Amino acid sequence: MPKNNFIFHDTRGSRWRRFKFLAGLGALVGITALVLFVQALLVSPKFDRPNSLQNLKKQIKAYAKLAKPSGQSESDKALFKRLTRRAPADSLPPAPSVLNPGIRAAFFAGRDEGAFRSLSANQALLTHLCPEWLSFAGVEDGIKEDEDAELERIPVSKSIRLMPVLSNLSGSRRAPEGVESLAQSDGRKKEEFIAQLAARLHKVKAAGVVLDWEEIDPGLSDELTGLVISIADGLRSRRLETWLCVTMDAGFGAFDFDRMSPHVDRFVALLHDENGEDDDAGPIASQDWFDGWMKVISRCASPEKWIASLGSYGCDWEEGASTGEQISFADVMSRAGNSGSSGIKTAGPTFNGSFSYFYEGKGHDVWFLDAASFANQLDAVRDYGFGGVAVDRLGTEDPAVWNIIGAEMEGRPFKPGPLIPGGNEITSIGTGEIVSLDPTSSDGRRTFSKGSHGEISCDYEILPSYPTLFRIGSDQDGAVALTFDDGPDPDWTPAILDILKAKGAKATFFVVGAEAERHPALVRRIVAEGHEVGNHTFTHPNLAEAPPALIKLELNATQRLIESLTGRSTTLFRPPYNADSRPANLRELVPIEIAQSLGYMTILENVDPQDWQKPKKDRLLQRVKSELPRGNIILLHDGGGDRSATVAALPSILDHLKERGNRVVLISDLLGLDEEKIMPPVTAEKRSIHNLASGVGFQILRQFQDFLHVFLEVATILVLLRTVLVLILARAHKNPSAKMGRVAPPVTILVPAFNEEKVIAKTVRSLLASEYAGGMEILVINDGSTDATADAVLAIEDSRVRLISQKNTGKAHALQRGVEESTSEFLVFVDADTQFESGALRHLISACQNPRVGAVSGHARVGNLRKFLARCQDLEYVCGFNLDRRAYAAWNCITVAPGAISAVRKSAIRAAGGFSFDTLAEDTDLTLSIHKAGYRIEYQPEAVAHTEAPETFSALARQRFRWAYGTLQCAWKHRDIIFNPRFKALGWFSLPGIWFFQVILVAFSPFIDLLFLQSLLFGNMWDILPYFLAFLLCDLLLAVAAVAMEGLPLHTALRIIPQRFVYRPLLSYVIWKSILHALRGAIVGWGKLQRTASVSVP
Amino acid sequence: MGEIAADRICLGAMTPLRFIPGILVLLCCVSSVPRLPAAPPPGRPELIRLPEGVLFGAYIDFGETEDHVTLEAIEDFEKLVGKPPAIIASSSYWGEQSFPSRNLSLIARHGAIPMIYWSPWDRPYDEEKGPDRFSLREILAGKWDAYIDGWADGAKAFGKPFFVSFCNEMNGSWFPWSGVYYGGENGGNEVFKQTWRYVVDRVRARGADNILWVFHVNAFPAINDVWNVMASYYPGSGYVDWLGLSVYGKQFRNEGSWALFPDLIKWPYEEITALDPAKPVMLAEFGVGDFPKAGDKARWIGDALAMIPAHPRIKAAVYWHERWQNDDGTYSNLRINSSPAALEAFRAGVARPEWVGSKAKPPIP
Repeated sequence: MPKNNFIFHDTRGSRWRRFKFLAGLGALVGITALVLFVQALLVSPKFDRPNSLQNLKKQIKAYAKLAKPSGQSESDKALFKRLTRRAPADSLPPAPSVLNPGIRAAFFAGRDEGAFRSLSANQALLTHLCPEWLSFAGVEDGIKEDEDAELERIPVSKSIRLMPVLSNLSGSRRAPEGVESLAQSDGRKKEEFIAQLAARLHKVKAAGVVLDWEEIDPGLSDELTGLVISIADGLRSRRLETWLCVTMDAGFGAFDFDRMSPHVDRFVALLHDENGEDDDAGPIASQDWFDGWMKVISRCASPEKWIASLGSYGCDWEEGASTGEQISFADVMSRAGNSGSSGIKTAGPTFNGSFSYFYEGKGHDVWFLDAASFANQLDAVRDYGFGGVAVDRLGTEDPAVWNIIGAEMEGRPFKPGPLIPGGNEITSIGTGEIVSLDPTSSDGRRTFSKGSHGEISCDYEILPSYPTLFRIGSDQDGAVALTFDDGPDPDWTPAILDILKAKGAKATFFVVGAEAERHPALVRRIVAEGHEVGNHTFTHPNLAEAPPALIKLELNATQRLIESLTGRSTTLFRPPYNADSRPANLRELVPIEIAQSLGYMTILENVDPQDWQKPKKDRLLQRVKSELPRGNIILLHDGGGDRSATVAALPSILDHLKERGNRVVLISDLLGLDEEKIMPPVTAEKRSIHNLASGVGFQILRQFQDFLHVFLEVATILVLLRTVLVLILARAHKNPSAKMGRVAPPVTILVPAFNEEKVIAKTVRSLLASEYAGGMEILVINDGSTDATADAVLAIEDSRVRLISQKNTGKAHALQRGVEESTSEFLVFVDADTQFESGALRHLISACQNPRVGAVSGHARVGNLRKFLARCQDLEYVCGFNLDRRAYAAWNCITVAPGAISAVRKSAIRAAGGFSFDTLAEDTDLTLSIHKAGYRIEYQPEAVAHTEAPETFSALARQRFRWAYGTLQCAWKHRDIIFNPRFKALGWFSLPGIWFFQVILVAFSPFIDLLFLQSLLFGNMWDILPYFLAFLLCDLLLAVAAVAMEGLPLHTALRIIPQRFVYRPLLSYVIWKSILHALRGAIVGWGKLQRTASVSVP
Repeated sequence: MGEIAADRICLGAMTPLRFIPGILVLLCCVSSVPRLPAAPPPGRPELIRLPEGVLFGAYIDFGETEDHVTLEAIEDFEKLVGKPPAIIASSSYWGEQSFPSRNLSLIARHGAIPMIYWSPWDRPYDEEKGPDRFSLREILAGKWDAYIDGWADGAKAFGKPFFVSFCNEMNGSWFPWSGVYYGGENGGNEVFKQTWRYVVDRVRARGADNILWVFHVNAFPAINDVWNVMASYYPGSGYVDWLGLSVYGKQFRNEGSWALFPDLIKWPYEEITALDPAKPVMLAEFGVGDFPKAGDKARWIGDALAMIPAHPRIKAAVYWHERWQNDDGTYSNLRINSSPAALEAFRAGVARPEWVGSKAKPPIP
């Protein structure tokens, strides 16, 4: 058998060798490129971080300065004198030896992350918790709840009683008018107030309330005392307690304690504001001052009514600043340690600690309280017989105060340890949102010593250290930086850039790499218009939960991309999700540390109007307004979602900033540096192989994605067009037999059979049962079957049946033999497993009467509908025959009269040069050859035959591989037809259609599926989904039309959906297998692969 | 103004009757005083077109040095009062050694006319302490010429018209530039006048012709004597563009009885309008504390806002919106919202069409 002309056959295997060589080379280049690309992302880009910012830590220095002389000031002395005059100087009550069982309360602010840690560590020592929650600033506004109080996060412990604080704060300032008005109002107003307060307290299951009303006019003492009494009585009748905070200043005189004492449950003496944030630098509670006040308090009401609120925090006064900054004990230690201050101690006469330091060229004075001052104060509290203590406030305290409280509870003396644990707390130095991190921490040591009068002092030998943020970039002369995260975005970024341009403002864009990669032109535009670009990672993950290697990869990929797009590096980094100026926990510091090690500066923010919530324009502006007084880096978003709110509000935000006197500047301006330093150019000598690799890599990646997108668009358009065309043409198709009338010439039916013993007899009998008026001859060509096929045929006793047996040579040869042996001009081809309906033969032949018609395709249906897989194929057949073949017939471009059921003129076969044996799809091959010979190919939908479909995937795969490979062979063999004007629709429509719809589209569909899957994962599914839906819709439309024509129930068409997902991967697989086989050049047989001797398969 | 000592002035004690002798003496003096030196550089009262009614102005609690002007404070106040002020006042203390250009620009951008109390005193800004390094004599000696020139340059650079109340309430005894500290009856007022002319001349010589000079006295003198009445301090019409009065009701709890607005404005208005037949008058400061037992603040405000426009020469009035703590621990609350009733009275009073606000956008409540 001459096989060297088999299509794609390559006897010497040289094509496969060439292909292998080229493929190997390609793979080598590809893998090298990939390695370079990945390496480029793993190797951190080198760029110069501005020197001045490399080590902010060096900017803090100790500063020897004489501490302000302390002790009771003249005004305090006058005050004590006046206040102690108001009550007779009773002798002190007998002092209990221990405080226990007393009240041990703690103040708590939800905004302090450290408060939660401290609470969970020390709650066993507490009896009451006083969270800052309510405020009352004006009679009209009523009582307001603080949204940041986070009461719900407080661990509920039954042993601790909740006493929320009701302040008279409005923002950060006291608004005493509300309380003063209420005090002077009538009883009804007060009753309303009390009812409202009680309702709030009951809502959170509180035990009562702590009134913290400061800066009230002592001139209203009577009214105020009356108000507190009304509240206390009102709450007591509702089983709620009332505690009243009392400040240690002139405000002390605002209350008549003796009058209030029977009504109010406790008075809380705030014994720690000798010098507050609004005062000049000085001790926070010097011992003299403390003792003076204790003496005053002891003359007011009975001592057990009093709770002493003690602090162990610090205050930092920067020279020239209008207010000081209240800081935690950890901050105190951190600032002292980092500045290298030495000789720090809490000792007499103040028993407050202090030191001074320089940071960023400004002097700072720090005063602080610690466990030593706490112990001394607690001694006095015990001596005076107070009812309890309160720690003000949780998270800011010296941790050793808990040892003191614990010892007090057990009535044993306080034995302080020398260890000051460093570590867990995050401390910070300076103000501003541009941070540099020192992640190290270490424990400190101190010695407590007892003086002759029992007073305790403390010497700090080794200062502890904590993870510390060095901050810079705070408001200098009204400079404000606008930052946009999560872009670029084709909808919003251009709009924002336009507004910025129109308003002459510059901003900093923290881009997400994946977005930048998608919209490179926007990144270039941002830089070209004078804005700065920062690194916001590649995929916007929560870095606090990401492994370090991933963080690096995220940063590097984005940096490489920015470099390749703009020719400049960026030194700015902002972590996704945690850009808030106060990192809550150590995990949030990891990305900052890694970014810093790569050379970045981390830019946080403290004005976050939450524009992603899409507030109304005015509301967004309002949020910016209300947050501006406390920050100068504004966070907005230009990507990651619908940013219409941001775009709408931006002009008014810029106008407001201008009106407010702010200059909108770049981060580089905030740092006082050239933009070149913040975004250094990637110079030629710095342009490394990594830059090249990453640049080219991103380019290829982008182009591949672009290609897939364009491909998708083109494919969708073609599929839509084809669908419309097929529907129109199918409707236009006319039954070919109608014209010809009923003629019945003699017919030869050819049934090639290879091992068909099970079905052959049935097939032949169905043919014999045909209602056909003319003569009929059935030739069964037994192609060397090894089973009982021949016997089965011989068993049929009918003279019209003839058996021809030959050696196994393949279907085409069998058919050729049949043609040679046939006696009629009209030949009918039937597969051995195909049952003809009784009218099929008649319809087939009547359609064949026109002498210009060379062949007629019948309508094959699936006969075995038991299995789902078979039913799916049935739908496929219904669609293929009812629509495609009708449509193709209308334009005379049918590509196959199927071997299962078709009629052919012998003269047409001769004109076509007979059967050829060089493809697996002899029917397609023959059909195309008959086309070339100038005959028409018709379709007769009435000629129905039922064939047996594969019922297993492997059988189906084998069948489809045969078809696919055969089709590929025919499409290649007859490639001269394509775009050949002689063949009209065949050359312009159906054959290119085979290439595009059956080969290319099917081959690419797995990539499209992957793209779709990726789009689902990364949230941009609307990129691909429309195409996907368009494809599915076309399929469904065709299926419905076909099912309707077939007269099947419409819901059958729904099978198209599972069919897509079962077939597509299978079809892709066989197409790729076919292409590979074609390249390999092996001969492919009907069931199995036959290899040439020359090729060895790896 | 700021931390005013409790015993600053006892207005309640000063019934207008006690002033009659002073006024008589004053009238004699004016007729006998020789004419002022000829052709002083003219002021430019035309810088601001005088309104039909009264320009509404306010000082809004701008902090200890009265110069911490923020848009937030202004907008909060506007929200409170319902009408954006046409004049926003703040201070420039010599101790700060700067020109408040940022404040002026901010106020002007907001659509209001800035007014500056330009006060030659030094830190700590405590009252009753007498002259410091910025004493009038030092100024006259030329020691602060450079500062004055620089300040004038800042004013010129700002370019838009603004009010300057230089050395306000010089007829009191609390500020260090008061005549009482420069010899009192022995020419204290003369030192003041010389200084005024010296400074105004210097500022004008630098080309700062956009300033409206406000001659700003306290409604009642601290010491009731001829040398301490308004006319004794008046530097001459060529040196003054507007005449200004501080009119305060009861400010301190221990200050004495409540004084009603009509009694507080009557004599001072007559006295100040007698200084010049044409110059516009402003209440360069007015306000009252909130002491419900002593008197009705809402009524005082209602009277003031109703009566001020009834005085044809008064073309502007600046309300002093501040709460401060006194040395004895008590508070003086002059804020318009010291009580709901006071706020209501203020909102209603200032809503009258005679009160002219700025063209700034109405605040979003």
